[in-house]
Formats: sequence, C-alpha cells, structure tokens
Amino acid sequence: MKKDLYFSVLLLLSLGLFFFGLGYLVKILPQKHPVYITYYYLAPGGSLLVPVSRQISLKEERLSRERLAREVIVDLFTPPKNLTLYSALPTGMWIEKVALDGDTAEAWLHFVRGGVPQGTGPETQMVNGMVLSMTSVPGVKKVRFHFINPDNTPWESQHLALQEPVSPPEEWNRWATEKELRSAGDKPRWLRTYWMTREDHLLIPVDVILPRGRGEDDALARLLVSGPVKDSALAALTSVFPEGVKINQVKRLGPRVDIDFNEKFLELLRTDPQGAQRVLDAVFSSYVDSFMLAKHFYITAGGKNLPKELWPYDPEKPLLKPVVINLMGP
Amino acid sequence: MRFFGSLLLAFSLLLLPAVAAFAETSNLKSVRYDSDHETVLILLDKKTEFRFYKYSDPARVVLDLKETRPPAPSYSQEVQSPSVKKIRYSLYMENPSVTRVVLEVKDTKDWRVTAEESSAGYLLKLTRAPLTETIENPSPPKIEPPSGPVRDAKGFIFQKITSGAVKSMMIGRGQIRLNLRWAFSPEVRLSSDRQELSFWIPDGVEQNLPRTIEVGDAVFQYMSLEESETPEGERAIKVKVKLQQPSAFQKEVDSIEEELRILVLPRTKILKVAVVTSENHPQIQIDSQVPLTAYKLFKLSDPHRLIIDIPEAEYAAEKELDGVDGTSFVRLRGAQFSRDPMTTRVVIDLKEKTKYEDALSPDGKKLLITLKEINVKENPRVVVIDPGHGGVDPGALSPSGIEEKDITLAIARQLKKLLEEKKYVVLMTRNEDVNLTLPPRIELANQNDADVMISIHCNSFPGSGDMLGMETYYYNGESFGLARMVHSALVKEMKREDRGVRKNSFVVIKYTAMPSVLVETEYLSNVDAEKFLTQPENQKRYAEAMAEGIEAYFSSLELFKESNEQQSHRPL
Repeated sequence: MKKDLYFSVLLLLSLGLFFFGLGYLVKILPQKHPVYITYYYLAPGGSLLVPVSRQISLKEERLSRERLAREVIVDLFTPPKNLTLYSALPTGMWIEKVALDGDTAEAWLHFVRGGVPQGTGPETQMVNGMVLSMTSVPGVKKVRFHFINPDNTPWESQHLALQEPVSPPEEWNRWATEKELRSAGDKPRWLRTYWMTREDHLLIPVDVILPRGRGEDDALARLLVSGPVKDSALAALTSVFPEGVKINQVKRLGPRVDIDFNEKFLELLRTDPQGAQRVLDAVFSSYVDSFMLAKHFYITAGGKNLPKELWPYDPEKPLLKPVVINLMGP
Repeated sequence: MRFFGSLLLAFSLLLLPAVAAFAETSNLKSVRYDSDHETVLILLDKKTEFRFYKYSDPARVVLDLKETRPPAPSYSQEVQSPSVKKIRYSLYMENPSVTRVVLEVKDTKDWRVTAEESSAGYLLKLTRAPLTETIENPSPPKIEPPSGPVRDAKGFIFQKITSGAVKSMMIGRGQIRLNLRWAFSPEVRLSSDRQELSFWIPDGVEQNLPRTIEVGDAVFQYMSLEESETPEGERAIKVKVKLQQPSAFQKEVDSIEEELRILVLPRTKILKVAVVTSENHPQIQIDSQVPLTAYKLFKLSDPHRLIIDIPEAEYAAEKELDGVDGTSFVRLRGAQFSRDPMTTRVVIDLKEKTKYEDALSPDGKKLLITLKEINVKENPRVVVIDPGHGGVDPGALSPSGIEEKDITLAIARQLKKLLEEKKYVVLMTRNEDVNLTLPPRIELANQNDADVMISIHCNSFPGSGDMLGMETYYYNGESFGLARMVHSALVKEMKREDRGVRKNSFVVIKYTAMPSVLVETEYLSNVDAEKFLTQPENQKRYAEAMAEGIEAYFSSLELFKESNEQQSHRPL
C-alpha cells in the first residue's frame, strides 16, 4: 500500500509536469486568435466615424507596436478606395514621427498653413479618429499629440484640451436632440445601435437615448429594425433590416441573449446570405456594446430553431460573436 | 493491476480540489458602503477564497471572489465619498464562477482587505483604514448597545440603529426621517383604515427588541420596532407607526444628505383664505382644520403666478379674492385641484416677478405667505461672454471668405446689450478683433467669480458643404442644465436643424469653475448658413435666444433654491 502511494505521488508529479509544459507551449506558440486593427474614417457628411477593421497576418504581428501605430496613422490618411469614406485628418497635415512611452503613443503632426481643422466638429473628429484608431493597436491606451506649425513652433489646439494624453472618448457618434435629452431625464441611458450607410452598407455604431417607457431590450430591437428617423441628421443611414424582417422577441439573462426573428428572416438567409450576416452582425454588436454581460447568442425564427440546411450551427450551443465591424482584407 | 489502481488514486487526488470547490459555492448577499469608515462591506453566506488587486488608469480596487454567485448578474452604484467613486460587481466575463467586485477609487494607496466570520456570514471589508484584524484571526463583529429614544429641541424623537440599512431614525413634525447607511428605499404600507404605516429595515440587528416609542404629537401616536422577516424571507426590523388620524404619505429621497423622508399627510380641510397687509407687504393667510405637514410652493411665469398646492386637503373657503392696490398682488384664486389624490390649489396672480416668504404658525394650522418686490440690484448675476477666436486667428472661413471671429463678436455684442438691459453684470473676453489664446478667457471667468460663461462659435466642415445645424456643448454635469436651456431656447427661436446637446472636453468649458457652455451657432461652411449667419437680424435673434436660455437657467436655480427653502419650512 505504501509503495502504491509513492507510485501515485510520482505519477501525479509527472502529470502535473506534463500539463504545465503543455500550458507553457500553448503560451509561447503563435496565437490562433486573429489580431484586428480598427481604423476610423468619416462617413459621407462628416458627422459620424466609421470603424473599418483589418486582420493582421502573423507576419505583420511581429511588427513593433511603434511601427503598427505609425502604419495606423498613415493608413488613416488613405481610406480604402472601394468605400465612400473620408479621412478624419485634414488635407495638408502629415505625420512626422510616432513613439511609444509605456502605454502612450506620441504622435508628432506637421501641417502646411491652413492645414488645421476648422471648427469644433472636424477637430473633434480628427482627434477621436486618431485616438480610437491608435488605441486599437494592442497595448496602446492613450495618445499624446504634438502639433507643429509651418514655422516649426508648437501649435495649440483652438478648441480641444490636448495638453495631456487623450484616452479613447466614451462619447462619439452619440446622437440626441434637446427634446430627446429632456424626455430622458438627467441621467439618460444610452443604447448603441448599428445602422448602415445606404451606399456601401457599412455598419456604423450610433449611440441613441433609450426611448422613454420601454424595456431596454425591446427598445434596442425597435431601434435596430426601424433605423434612424427619416428627417433627422442621420438620414444618410438606414436599418440593416430589409423590409419585412423583424425581431419578434429578445430575452436576456446575464450573458445569454435569445433572439427570435420573424419567419421572413429565413427567406433572407435563403436569398441574401450577406444581408442576413449584416443583420446578425448589427444585432450581436448592438447587444454586446449596450449590455455589459451580453455575450452568448441563441437564434430562432418564429419561435423555432433555424432549419439545418440554412443554419449549420448547433441550436443548443451559444454563438459567440467577436465584434469585428466592416472587415476589410489585409 | 497495481498500476491501474495507482492511476485511479492519482486521478482521484487531482479531482478532489475540483469537487471540493464545486461543493463550496457561496452566495454574495450584499455589497454596501459605510461612509463613516470609508469601508465597503461585502457579505457572503459562507467563507470563500478571494484575490485582491489594484489597478491604475482609472484607479480601481478589485476583489475576485472565487466560486461565488452574485444576487444579480450585474450591479453598479455611484458613491458620493472622498475616496470611492463607484461600486460595481458582476460575474467575471473570463470565468463565470468568479464574481468580481470593483471599486472605482480616487487613489489606490492604502486600500486593504480584511475578512471576518460571523453569524451573519463571511464579511469582507475593503477599507483605507489601518489593518486592525487579520484574515487569519477573524473575530465576530461588535454590536454596540443601542441608545434609548431622545427628543430634540425641535420635537423630533431620535432612535439610533446599530446595523442594517438605516443608521438612525427621527420621528416628529409629521415626518419619519431615515438616515441611510446605503441607498435603500423601503416599501411603505398603509393600513386599510389609513392609520398605520409599516416598513422593513433590511439586515438590521438590534438588541432589546421589540420596543415601543411613544410620540404623542398632532400626527403620530407611537412607533414600534420588532425583529421580523420581510415577505422575501430576509431578516429585518419591522417598523410600525400608529397615526392620530387617517392620513396619506409621501416618500422623498435626499441623496445628498443620504436621508429618506416619509411625510405623513393627515386629511384636512382648508377653512379660510384671507388677505392681510403687514408692513406694506400683502400677506395671504390659509387656515387649515388640522396642522399642515406638507405643502408645495412654486412660481410660474407668463403671466407671473405663485402656486400653493396642499396635499390631502379639501377646499372649503372662498374661491376668489381681490388683490391689493399699489402692490404686485393682482388676485387670489382657490379651488379643489384634484380629488384623487386630494389636492387643494391656491393661485396668487401677480403683476411682475415677486419674492415671497412662507411660514407656518406654531400650531401648524395657519400658513402665511408674504409677497415682496424683487430688488435686482441686491445680488446681480455675472455672465461672461466669450466670442470665439479673434485677431490673427480667424476661426472657420465661409465659402466666400467670411470669418468666424467677426460673426461670434457681432452676436456677443448683441447678447451683452440684452443681458445688461436685464441688469446682469456682463464681462466680455474680447470686445474687439484682438488675438486671445484660450487660458486668459478661462482666467477672466474664474477670477471674476462669474455665475455662467457662454462661448460663441461657428462650426465648419469644409469638405462637406451640406452640413447644417446648431450644437451646444458642455463638459461637466453642473453645466448640463445650462446647456439644455440655452440650446432649447436656440432651437425654439432660430428653427435651425437641432444637432443636439453634447459633451466634449473643449478647453473653455473644461477648465472654468462655473457652469459654462460652448454654442455652435451654425456651419459656416454651408452657403445657406453663411447667408443666415451674416444677417444682423439673425445675429440679434441668436443673442435673444441665448439671453432667454441664460435667464431660464437662473430662474430654474431660483426655483430650486426656493424648493429647498420650502423643504426646510415645510414641517410643523
């Protein structure tokens, strides 16, 4: 019996060593999870920032973070040619240098005379676009700006407080009229919905105030399906839901979100899989962004599981959706 | 065979901790903040393993509770404290068997965790106080002996509660006041005969219960405290309050004072409304059958009126009385405003904006309202107007070359004139086309102790000439009200596209010490907006709307101030 115990302890140690070694190997081997860098460009009209994600290949993953941060800014000047998007950086401005100090990226920007943004709107979009983009580089959390005048003297911002490093803004693409704010009370609850551009069908996150007197889940479903109010300044956007496709019911409990579409969704899956994918992307992203715990999605249509020929996933297992918006090729 | 036996034993040893951990799932019962000791109290039903971390940017203290279930999937509570900003907890996303409690703190220095086991469960304390008890040597919580009832000079009876959601209670003058340890709002029940109120204090542990406290005033007979259980089966102290006559009640939460007030409203009749004159000031006297415990006074404009609403009151007096010549008091009207809930409304019609003072007679049966004319020179408000840009900095340019700095100055000059006519003290950051950086603009407002600051700008999106509309920006919560009122007036008057009230960290609104807003009047890059902005009559309309918004903001402050005064006058 004593021998048995020694043998067991030895075996236990060997097993422990084996699992530890396996864990270490997993840690040092290249990760299979893709790395995404997200760029933020201006939608037509200039009032909204559109995220466009790019998957970084393993080769690129070995680039230094400085190089990545610099590349992000350089790419910010040149939006993808196949999309109707504009750079948030004004013409006449260029990047001289990017350096990293801990989690802060420092950017030196030069400009020719007249190359600075005019007005609070473009200045805010430029800074937000750069900060949101650069902080999507792993490890970068803040951006310090150095603007250099044509005569090589520092330029002070005309509106924004930029003396300290800037963290990603909590409030961007946020939309509420005075009337909506008033009806929402002093501490409005914001929901993030994803609508799309009419031309390129790009998903755009927009924060809107929870309509009064409605449950949060139902309110978000209504916003997703109905799209922006037609005569609002967001009229350039539209719902990702084609005519007739609707959400019947949303049930949310902790990380679990049950979404029941109407039966028209099956038709969409059959006839326009890309359109159906956009609907799912917008719905998943809206719930993930609006509710802290929402993570596991279960999809039904007309109260029934989706037919296997249209939906290859196990209805009993949750769909875990990484939030990657408007993905473009490397 | 021996090998397989050993393998089985080894696997059993490996599995043992997992089985043990599964069996020991604990439940998070409550998370509370004790402001007296700057301590967060985390109560679990059984002992569990925990990990304590500190993070910066933003500064936060994190406690991971292993194998623990929270009472709700997530929870978040803002805290008004010198050291803690917010308390939140939720299931940890990466490992749902862990509940993560996060304290957003001002500074992570000196934060510690201590643990103790007691009959109530396993208590973890996150505190900045020096470590007095170690995790290895837990001791049960001390229960202070309760103090007996004490009546103060104002007629309140004071009852200290040593544990649970309530620190102390005060009863008297038609009110039950609960001083709270943490945010809580009890469900107050009124008996069918409307003569008994009851509610529970959760988690209260008190010695020498049951206890009865004799009150014996015009409203209350007595209050009793007894150990009980809520309908949900939670341990609690049940509070019963016996009333002198059938009454209604109102609940109010004062989050600044951390106090919950239950106002008892005995049913009464308004017997008489009369006008008397005292020291040349008209005075309105309202007689009630039983002592008044609550009433509400507020002003309305256009035309100016002073309204008095008395809850649970039946109106049995004259319906109309004439005003007093040579004063601002024009007429008085009284009526039954509603029967469910029973409310009497008395309206005093005024010629102009008037100050008032209200007071209750010592027996609480007479309410006296004295009307006084306002002397605006007593305490003039200071408004700082900041016309954006100037000098070599033209700001935005229109398609035809009009500069933002000229439009902002033109509107600012009009606004100055209008506000001075309304007897405000107005300071301009610039009144000429001069260079001015941002810091002197902020200094001017801060050094002159201004009441509000308004910065005037024009927006521009040179690449997108079709963008139109007005925006009003604020930075801190204090400025939100001003932003809403100014923006609302602008939207109403100018009828331009409403692009909303927004938050942003612009220098002139971030570093000013008073409520301050930045108004974007229109997009100068738009050809139509350029025409609109350059017309003097439109510039005047912008100024009028801004003046109206500023005035509405100051009026709302007056109303708020009066409403606070009202609360201090309200009880008997």
